[in-house]
Amino acid sequence: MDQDLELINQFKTGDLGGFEMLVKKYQNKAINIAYSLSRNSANAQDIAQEVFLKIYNNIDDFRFQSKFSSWFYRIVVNTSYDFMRRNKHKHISIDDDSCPELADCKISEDSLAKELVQELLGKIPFEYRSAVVLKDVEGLSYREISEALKISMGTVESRIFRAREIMKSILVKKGVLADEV
Amino acid sequence: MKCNYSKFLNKYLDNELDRKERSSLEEHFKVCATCNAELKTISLLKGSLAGNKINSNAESFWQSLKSRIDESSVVKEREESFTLDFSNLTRRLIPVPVVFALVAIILINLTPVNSNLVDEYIFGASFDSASSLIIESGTQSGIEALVY
Repeated sequence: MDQDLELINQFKTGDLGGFEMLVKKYQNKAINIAYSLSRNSANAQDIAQEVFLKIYNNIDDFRFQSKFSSWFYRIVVNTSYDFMRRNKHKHISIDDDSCPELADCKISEDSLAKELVQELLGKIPFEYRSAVVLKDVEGLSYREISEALKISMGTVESRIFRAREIMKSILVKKGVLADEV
Repeated sequence: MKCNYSKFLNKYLDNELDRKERSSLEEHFKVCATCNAELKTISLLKGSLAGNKINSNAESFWQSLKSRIDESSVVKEREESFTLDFSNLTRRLIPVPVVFALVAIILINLTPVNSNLVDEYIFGASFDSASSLIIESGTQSGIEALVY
């Protein structure tokens, strides 16, 4: 049996230590996904706390029919979506949502400035964003994303493709990329 | 200008192609500048997203989560104990015949038919006599009767 399932069994028999280890193993994943989806570090912490509260309260719904990680990623994405919808009318500050000078947009050949990444993510519809975040931030395979989001692998592929196309077109518009690409 | 191979680039960089597909693409990359430029762009996006992370303190996160769990457990227990105590209390202190008697009394008191008829009768009667007194108020006996 894999380690997650052992921890869940431990927790289901009343040992909070199992849950604590599960939280410590997955908390950074929850925070980082929530950060890229909500684009605000304080909200990411709140969302991650909500995620683990949901897991704590609904652990009996997990029946070992799928991997814990798939269930976990689904809860993170859904909780982020609900959180953002709930706070749609409130003013949510986006961390560093600007790229003042073109020279500031790229920090190296392999990486864009964080503020530009945040801006790009904000321009992608949520369903594309969740797929590309699970792929690039978490490094999941298309199969793992399809299991987590309960969509086909073809849909995963097309959502990731569309997300990147949107980001590319914005970079071209900003002059960060050449028009040819 | 787009290259026909460009549709495979995402899957190539996402490591979703088998060995044969990968090696045939890699042969193509040796001669295609368009694909190489596109590869560079997708790599840039992937690398940037991969670095889009924040640090968090594992211990303080757990402590704050634990206090939220404790809080919600206390509220839950309180709700459950109130429900249980209340039902036990009613079962112990109020026997079934007493409950029936109470319900019957309440229903009789709430029934509007008889009381309304009586009210209407009394009100109607007094209204008739009062109006006749007002009509007769021109006379001394009528005024006295109205004041009285």
